[in-house]
Amino acid sequence: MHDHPSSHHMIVPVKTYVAVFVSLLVLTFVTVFVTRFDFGAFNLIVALAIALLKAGLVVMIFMGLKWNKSFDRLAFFGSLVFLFIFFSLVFVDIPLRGYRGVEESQQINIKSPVKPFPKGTMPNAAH
Amino acid sequence: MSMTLKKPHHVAHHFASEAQEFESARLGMWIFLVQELLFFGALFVVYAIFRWWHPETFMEAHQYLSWKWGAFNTVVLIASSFTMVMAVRSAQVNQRKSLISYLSLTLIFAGVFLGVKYIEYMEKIHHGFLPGSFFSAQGVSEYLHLFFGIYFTMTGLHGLHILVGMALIVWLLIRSFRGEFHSEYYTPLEMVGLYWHFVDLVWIFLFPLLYLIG
Amino acid sequence: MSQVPLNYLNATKGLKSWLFTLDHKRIGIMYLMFIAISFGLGGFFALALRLELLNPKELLFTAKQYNQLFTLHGAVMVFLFIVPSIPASLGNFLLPLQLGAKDVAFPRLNLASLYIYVFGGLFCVYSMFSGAVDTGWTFYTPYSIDTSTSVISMTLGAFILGFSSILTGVNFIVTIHKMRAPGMTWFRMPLMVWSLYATAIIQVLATPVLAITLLLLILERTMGIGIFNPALGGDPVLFQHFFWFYSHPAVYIMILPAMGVISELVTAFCRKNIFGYKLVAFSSLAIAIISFFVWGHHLFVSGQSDYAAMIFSLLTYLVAIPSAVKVFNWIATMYRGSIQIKAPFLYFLAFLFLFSIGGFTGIMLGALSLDVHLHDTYFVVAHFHYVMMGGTVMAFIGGLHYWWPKMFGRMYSEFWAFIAWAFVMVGFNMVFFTQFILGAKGMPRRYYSYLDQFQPLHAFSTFGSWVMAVGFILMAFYLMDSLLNGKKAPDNPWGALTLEWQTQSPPLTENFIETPVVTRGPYDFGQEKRS
Repeated sequence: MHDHPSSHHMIVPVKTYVAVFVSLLVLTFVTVFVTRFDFGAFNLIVALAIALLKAGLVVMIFMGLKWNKSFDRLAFFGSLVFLFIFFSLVFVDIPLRGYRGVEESQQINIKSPVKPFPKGTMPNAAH
Repeated sequence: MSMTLKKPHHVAHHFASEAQEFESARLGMWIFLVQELLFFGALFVVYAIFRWWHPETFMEAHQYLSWKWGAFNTVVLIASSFTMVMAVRSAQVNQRKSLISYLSLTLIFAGVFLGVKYIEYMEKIHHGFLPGSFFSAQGVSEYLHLFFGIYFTMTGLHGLHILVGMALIVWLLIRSFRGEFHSEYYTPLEMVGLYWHFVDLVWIFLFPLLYLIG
Repeated sequence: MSQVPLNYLNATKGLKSWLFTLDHKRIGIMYLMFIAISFGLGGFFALALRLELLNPKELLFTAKQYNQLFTLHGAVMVFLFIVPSIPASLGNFLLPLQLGAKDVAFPRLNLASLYIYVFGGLFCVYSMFSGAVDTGWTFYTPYSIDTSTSVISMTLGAFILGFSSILTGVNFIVTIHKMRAPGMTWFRMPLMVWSLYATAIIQVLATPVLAITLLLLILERTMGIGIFNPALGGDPVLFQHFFWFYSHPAVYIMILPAMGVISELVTAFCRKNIFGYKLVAFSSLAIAIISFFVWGHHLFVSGQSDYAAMIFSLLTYLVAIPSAVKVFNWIATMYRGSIQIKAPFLYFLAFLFLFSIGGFTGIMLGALSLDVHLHDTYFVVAHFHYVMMGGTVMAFIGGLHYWWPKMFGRMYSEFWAFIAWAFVMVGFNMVFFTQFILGAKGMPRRYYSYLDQFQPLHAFSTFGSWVMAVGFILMAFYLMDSLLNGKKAPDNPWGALTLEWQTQSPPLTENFIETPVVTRGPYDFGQEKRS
């Protein structure tokens, strides 16, 4: 049996690609723009939420997972689960133990190559 | 206009149909990207752990990175992703000329990205913001050298992936000139495209995490 | 000329026809060759270090050389031998045959994996001659950052070998998804295929984390990146997390294909359908998935938080469930089967006994409280040798004997196979059962010298290693002899039902004259198709 490949591929309209392109640019602008406001602990969450949105657009439209309903989709999203396992089980350990495996009180001095600023002079952004 | 040069594609001997061949290649590429995801993912875990331990270091360090260059490069990579999908689409609708121009544009954007990266690296090296024991700049946090270790490893490996992508795009260009890609066969284009978008994807996370929120 | 039918071995001639072959069977055979060499090399290191342990004093090697010996033994056996052993050699040879395909999905990628493997192996060999490594195969920081031995070349070798493993995994997943013959539904696949599938999942998901870990270690040594170095503000326990996130699942990369082989052996030599096909198939996937949840049991005494240790201890027990499901199902398969005691079946029995012991002691070690006592003792060494050698190596050798007639078209001597098996089995238990006792008495692993009271047990263990070596040398001889003088093998010497036995021995270049159409399960021996 001979399947013609074009029956398997969706030719996406140019305007869809352009719309995604523009959205990605807008979201890049937004993610830079919101750094002007300090949301405290939410800075990270806002930045990650925008990044996830952008990533979703790239994966679903540019990489075609929206139309590709085969095992590829499960493979990709499934692998995120394994990354999450790694992340979360490491973080069962990290916050619950002393740094470098020793208690806070026994912290050893590290040989840091960083040259400290003279007292009282705070650095400004380099650029 | 571009139909004059069009090489037919022959299905490899061990496949029964073109569809089987294409779907195998696509699944293979996705599985490969899965391993790439875990590869970079592990680095993001390193980032998260050290950020957890030393948030103040990360706050301080991101001020030494230029968000302007970072944002510029983000735009460049997004544009290259766009030209990449357009290249694949051009092959799908048999427009060889626009296929070649879109691929060339993608290559140029990739080059621009690496050029900017070079400028940034040179500046960091000049100021002594180097990884680990090579670090020689002034700073408040005594863990700054760890941040720059992570910064150089992540952006360095990402840059390496861009370089590999460029080599692949050159290979695609050569084959496009030979007229090997058209509506009936464009598997390599689509596969390199997937790879290229993945590299873009990594940068989409690297940019805010390294340059913006510190 | 017409005496010898055309097959994959004689279809084309000359060295070039092998070096550039895309035939999965030839690639499998070349892997087999390199893997056998690696096994010999790793075995040689094992014999040398057992010899040194014959008594507590310096015998042949200095303490430093001894450290290098056990490191090389571990690194060679893990990265060059056991990880690629079954999937890359037997798996490569069999997977397309068992699926009724002409080849794997990406034959050129397959050849590339082989060359990447050889390339990585060269780095490891280079490391041996440029000062060797004395960190143990686990490369724990901070020692691996400071030691003067050639850590970089060895880790670079393991890094490259990792990519060979990943690419094999990618190839196998796609092959299983896309290359099945008509009628070969998922539940008509031989269980070997299921286990290779589960293995490939781990190879693809876990190996990249090893790659990044080793890369960071290399950066640590070359430019003091500091992530894992406490002196620079890094965290050495983090290295262990990253290393074991790969290396614990890697243990299942090693054992899962072995379980697949065992399922083939038990059905073929009991002439009976497997008991609980779906359970055995799904337990492979379950093992693959659970394997990602348990790595922390290697860090029980490394300074990870107590809560993490408790959680990992609990999660570790989960692996016992699918593993036990398999063992019980194999035993149930034997029940009322018509058993033929042939060499492969002997290895099946060896696997069943030794793997069960390895598994039980694994549960003991998974218990947090007990592990604190037994951690880093010979008890652990004995445990993982029972699983890795008693499990994987026995299954590998059993599989090799089972498929030998298919691979080379020759039979071997059953008599000598039995003798060699007896030597290996007796020798193995002498070496490693003794080590359970040693470990329980408190003998720490990786020590060059020890208290005099341990000497008799150490000596007994060393004698065992010689017995085992005799077994393996015998095996090498009668298998060589089979290649040269063996009786010609029929197409299906064991009367098995899986597809690889339905083609000629050795198979044609493209496996089947006509693509087979599958209408029944892989083990439907003389029965109506089960529903």
